Formats: sequence, C-alpha cells, structure tokens
Amino acid sequence: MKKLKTILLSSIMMLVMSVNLAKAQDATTAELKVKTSAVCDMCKETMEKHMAFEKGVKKSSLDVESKILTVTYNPTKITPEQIRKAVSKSGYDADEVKADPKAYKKLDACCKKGAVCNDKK
Amino acid sequence: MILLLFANSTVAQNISGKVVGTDDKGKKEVLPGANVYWLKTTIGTTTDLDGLFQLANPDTTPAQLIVSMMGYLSDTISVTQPNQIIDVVLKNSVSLTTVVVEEKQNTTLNKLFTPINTEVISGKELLKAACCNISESFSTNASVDVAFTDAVSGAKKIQMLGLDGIYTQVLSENMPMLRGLSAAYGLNYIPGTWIENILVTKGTGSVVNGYESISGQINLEFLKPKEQKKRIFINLYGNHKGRAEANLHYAPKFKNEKWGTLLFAHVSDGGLKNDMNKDGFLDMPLTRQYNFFNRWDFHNQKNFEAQFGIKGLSESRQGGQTNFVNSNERDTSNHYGIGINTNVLEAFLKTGFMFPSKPYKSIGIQYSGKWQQQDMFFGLRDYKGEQKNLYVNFIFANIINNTNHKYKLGASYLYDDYNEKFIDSAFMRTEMVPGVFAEYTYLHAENFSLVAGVRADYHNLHGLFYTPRLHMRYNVTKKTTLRLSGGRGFRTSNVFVENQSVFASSRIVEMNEKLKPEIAWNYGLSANQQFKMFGNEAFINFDFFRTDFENQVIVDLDQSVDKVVFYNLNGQSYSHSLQVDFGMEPVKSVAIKMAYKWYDVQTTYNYELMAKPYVPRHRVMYNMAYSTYMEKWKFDFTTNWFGKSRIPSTVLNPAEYQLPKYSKEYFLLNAQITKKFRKFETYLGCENVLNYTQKNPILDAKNPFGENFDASMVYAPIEGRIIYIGLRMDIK
Repeated sequence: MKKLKTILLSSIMMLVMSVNLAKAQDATTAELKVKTSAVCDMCKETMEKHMAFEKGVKKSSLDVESKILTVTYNPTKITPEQIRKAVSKSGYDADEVKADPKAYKKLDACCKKGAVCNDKK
Repeated sequence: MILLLFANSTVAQNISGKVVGTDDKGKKEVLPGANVYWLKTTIGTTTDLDGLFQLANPDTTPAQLIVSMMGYLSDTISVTQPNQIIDVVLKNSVSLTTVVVEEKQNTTLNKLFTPINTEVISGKELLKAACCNISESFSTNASVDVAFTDAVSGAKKIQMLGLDGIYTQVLSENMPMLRGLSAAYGLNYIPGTWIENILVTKGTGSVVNGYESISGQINLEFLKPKEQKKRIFINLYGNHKGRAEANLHYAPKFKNEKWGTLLFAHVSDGGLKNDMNKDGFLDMPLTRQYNFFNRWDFHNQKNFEAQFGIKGLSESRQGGQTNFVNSNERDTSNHYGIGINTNVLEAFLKTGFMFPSKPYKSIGIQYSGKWQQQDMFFGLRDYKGEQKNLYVNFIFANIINNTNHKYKLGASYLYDDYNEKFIDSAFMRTEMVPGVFAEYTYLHAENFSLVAGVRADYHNLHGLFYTPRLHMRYNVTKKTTLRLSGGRGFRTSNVFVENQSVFASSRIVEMNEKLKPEIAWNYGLSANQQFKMFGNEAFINFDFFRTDFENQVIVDLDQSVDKVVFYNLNGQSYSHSLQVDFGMEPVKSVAIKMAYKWYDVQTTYNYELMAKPYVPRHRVMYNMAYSTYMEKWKFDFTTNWFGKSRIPSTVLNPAEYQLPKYSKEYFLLNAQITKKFRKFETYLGCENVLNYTQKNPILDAKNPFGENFDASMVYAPIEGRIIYIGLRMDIK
C-alpha cells in the first residue's frame, strides 16, 4: 500500500506542477507583432519552431493569411530588435529586417518569396 | 497536390463540393464513392456518381476535412468557415499495401473508420520508452503486454489477450516477418528508432496476410526513404549498468525523384557483469548486437512502384554464472553458462502496378526470403537450428461497380525448411504451403463497414486448412463505435526455440507424440466512445475477446518438477480477455491514459483444466505525459501493476526449493524527461524506479547441474532500477 501511496502522490505532484508551469506566464510578458514574408502553413511550422528555441520567447504564432507573427516574450531577456533578427535567421523578412540570405537559401522551394503554396495541411 | 478553395455565402447549412482525381497522365476524372469526413469524428459521407458531396457544417471552424479514396493519396483540408464549397483534386497512388488514412495528432488512437479494430502507436509514443527495441516499447501500451521469460537469457516476450506472442502475427509493412525461429523473440531484433509507427490489431487479422494471426496482428511500419526530411539521424543511449546502444539512419537525396533509399545501422553492447541479487548468476546476460537494414523505393511517378531491401542481424548473448568463461567452458560442468547466438539474413521485394485511369484496380506482388541460424547452449544442453524461408504473395484489388464494394483476390506460396538439433536428436522438416484467398470490403462511410475474407491453404504435412474471417464496424452515433470480429487461424510450432527459457533448468524434455499444428478460433467485441471532458477530447474503450483452441501444443511444467512435457491439447484450452481503457486531458498538454485488464487463460494440463502459469488475472496501467510549449520539455510517467499469477507446482521439490502457489503482486514504475534543443534532444529516464525484483529467481542456484536447479520460474524483473541517458540528433 505504501507503494500505491507513492505512486498516487507522485502523479498528483506532476499534475500540480504542470498546472503551475502552464500558468507561470504573467508579470514579465510582452507581445510583439512582426510582419513577415511567410507564405504557407509549412513556413508557419518552420518559423514557430525556430522561434520557440529563442531565449526569452514564450510563444509565437503566425497568421498565414496576414503574415503577421505574434510573439509573446519576456522583455528582460530579449528585445524586439533581437526578435526580428531571430525571424530573419529563420529565413524570412521581419518588418524592415531582411531575411538572412543563408537561411533563406535553405528554405523549401514552396516557402520562398512569391511561391504559390500547395497547402499541404 | 492541387487544391482549390472557394468561399461562397449563398448556400446555407452545408459544406459541399466535388472530388476529382488525376490519372497518371494528369487527366482529371470525377471520383464517385470517395470518402469525405471530419477528422476525429464519424460524420462523413461518400461522393455520388458525379463526384459531388454535401455535409453538415462542422460544430466549430476551422475543422479538418479528410478526403480519401482507394488508389489515391488522401488529403486533409482545413475548412475555415461554414457553408464553404470545396473542390478537391486527389492525386493517384499505386497502393502496395492497404492504404491507411491517419492523422498523427494523438500519440495513440483507435481509428473510428476502419472496420478492423486497429490501434496506431506512433513513433512519438515509442519515444516514451526510450530503450531500446520493439519488445520493450510496449510498456506504455495496454493492448500488448511484455513478459519476462527466464532468469538468465534477458530476453523479453510479448503477450496479447493473455496468450504468448507466438499467437500474434508480426508483419513488416504488411508482409509476414517474425515467423518460425524468430516468432518468439524476434521483436528483440528490431531497434525502436527504425519504426515510424506500429499498428496493433487485437483478435483475428486480414486473410490477405496469411493464416497465422490468432490473438492479434502487429504491423510494423519502418521509416520511409522519401519521407525523411533530414539526411542523417543519430541516437545514442547508455545506462548505468553498462548497456550502450547507437543507431544511425542515413537517407541521401537523389536528383532523380523516382528513387529513394534509407540505411539503418544499429550496434548495442551490454558488456558489464552485474549480480545484484548475489546468486552467482548474471542478472542480465552480456550481449552484443549488430543490426543492419537498407531499403530502396522506386516510383515511376505513373503506375508502377517497387520497394526492396536487405536486412542482416548478428547477436550474441552470454549469461549464466558470473565466472563462466565462454571460450573454454562450454559443454563442461565447471561453471553453468548460457549462450544464444543468432544470425539472420533477409531480403524482400514488393511491386505494385496500377491500371491506367482505374486507380482502384491494382496488382501487388510481395516476395521475401530469409535465412536464420540459431546456436544455443544451456549448461550441457546444446541446440542448433536453421530456417530457410521463401514467401510470395500475389494480390489483385478491384471494385464492384463503385468503391463502396471492394475486393481482393490472391494467391500465396510459403516455403519453410527447418533443420534442428537438440542434444542428440535431429529434427528436420520442410513445409510447403500454397494458398488462395478472397476478401470483400463493404464501406459505407456514414456508419457501417464490413470485411469478410476466406482463404484455403494446402499444407504438405498437415493437409488442407480453411481460414474464414469477419470484421464489422457500426457507428451508433457519431462518437460511438461498435466492432465485432471473428475468425480462425493456425500455425506450426517450433517448440525448442519458442520455449528456450525452460532449458535453463534441470527439467528433462519429453515429447511422446507428433506435434500437430495449433488451430484456434478468436471472437471479439469492442465499443469505443469519445466525449468531451474538461473541454478536451476524452475516450473510453471496452473490449472482450475469446480465443478457443482446437489444438494447441501444450507446454506442461506441472506434471513433474523434473520434466517439461510437450504434447497436443487433449481437452479444453481458451483465453478470455477483457480490457477497459480510458484517456483524457485534464489540462492542456497533460494526457492521462488508464487501462484495466482481466485475463482468464485456462488450459488442460494432463487432464486437468488449470490457469496458464505466469499470466496475472488482473493488471492496471497508468500513463501520464506532460509537455511544455513546442515540446521543449516532455515528462512521462508510467505505472504498471501486476496481480498474482499461478506458478507451476513445485510440491515435489525438497522444502527449501518449493515456491508458493501464486506469485506476488507488484508495481513497475518508469519515468522519463526529454529536453529539446534547437539542434538535438536529450533524455534522462529511470526504469523500475521502485527497484522491484523477484527474490531468489533461481532455484538451487548453488548447484546448477543438480536436479533441483531451475532458472525458468520467473514472473517479475531480475534486474533492479536502471537509470539511462540518451541523445537524438538530426543532421540536414
């Protein structure tokens, strides 16, 4: 029975921990909207994934239609300037910052500027 | 894929549209009878003769609409607003195998649409149990159980419906794979990272894949050459007991898009001697495995496709007493040693041809060949086995009038040559089995589907066998699915390899009659209900199966503590299995799965109906997973509880070597944390957190050549807590 208790306790702890982690985003949160050169859902995936691993970025979401990337971030850890630079590093224009040419070259053909998207999912 | 979307505000209440397909010349053609349905629901319809369809608006937008038809690549369309008019163009595909429409959102999901009750375990789910091969990957899955076999060889076995893994047919991309000498332990030879996903079917399988599935079917889908975004994949694993593994995948890109290849390589080594329970025997054997697989895909981008590959494996295991020296103590009684050396070479070829402008009509041919050699010793007992196998399967697929009625006709030929030697006796046999089959599928996307199949096989040693099978699905409501299945299966057994763990004892092998093929009927019933809980998707699943043996090869450990007796079933042998699964997401990104399983497996041993040993009547599984944004952190926690099971009688042993009638109940706990970085990910985990082990798993360990020695009476882990770390990395 002792073991059962340990198991129950640890799973409850994990649940509480995860709820807390999920709610932990308040005070140091700012939002930034960046106009990008993304074209399709595939670009959305690439860009959001790239941004997720940027220090200080909590969340980012691209609206494919308007090409606007909304970034939720911690302003004590990253500046809007650095965020635009990070977008550029993923291969896309960010407001007035042009896409990093190296990263742009690596993009799939359908994600390049002016490409007509086949919209796979 | 070309997809046109038009927004239209004049039509009300319905999503409507037209489905057309492109043939191999790019010519468009209306597709009647295509399936159109909302993702993760059972709301759907089929297109009419003009390829038109109408569907009620979804509850919420955006919603995912799936359009599928046999012979064409399925498409998922995001519907962003109600009353949208959608035109879909499906590209044709040559279908080598049954086309499975699937959506990879959940890690495990039961498909509501297929008539056959199939559960998909995705590659993501497999990562939850980072170590190491497929037989170990099922620890987070409720339908397949992992069993311990003996105290010395370290091999694990799977079970389905409370029955040994030999009654489960294992397929590699719809071709029979782990047969004959690899039926019992073959899953140990497949590294987890090679697998894209696993399809688990409980109960009887499809007749197209042969006659061997009795309690279930496991289809392994390996990673596909053309779907690899990254060129190189590296996986490293190490645990604190000295086991180390490395996996490497290499998928070069060709200028010519018709070709694709993927190379897999695996090395593992468990080279440290551990004896935690101080019984003088290694807890886990010293192992070394080299494993290699190279596959090729060719598609002429019109109507012909071919896949072929070659696999090679070499594995050695050495267990027994810690001070046993393999090189010069084999076949001596200085120290007790165990060695299992396996070599396998396999090759396969699959070709698919589709008729021009008739994408539903196709011809597929599968060829495979295998050579396996197994060399084992358990103390003074030697075994040598060799299997040569050839297999050809021809499948013709077509429709009757429209795609609501599909059928498959085919013929197969199986050749197996076995050459075995156990101690002083030689056993040789050649099996040649030509067979024919027919399978009819009725699909009505709204709420009903059915698959009925029958095959007849002529076995050169055992005569004619017929194998009828039936599957039905009925959707009571859009979120409630009922399924029924029933069918027959048979297999020939290879007692030495399948029961090798028994040889790690002083038991004398007795076989007084000619063993007949094992034949069983399986019937099943399942119900699946999806609903909302805490605003998220949740499900509850219930199933019940009965397996009834007409004949079975009985492994009798109860008659005497000094013997293991193999004979044909004389009386009843059946298994009842009941499983209840429940899954939900209490908070976003937290997923909980629970399962309860009840098994009643009874076999007639020496005129007495008794519970099958080592199969717990009750089991509980609990799995909890939590991931942060973009899965930068992943936490996973699994608990299994095993109830007591019957231990074969030991009353004839001297008192100090007697075991209780029933095993103890116990918990097994696993936990794992994964951290993802931009370029790679690492994981840290712990198996058997509570450090639970079976006390004194070896009877009379001090006298391994004495008459009371038995290392095969195992129901729980021998190895205690294991802490491991690992790394996964892609290189573009």
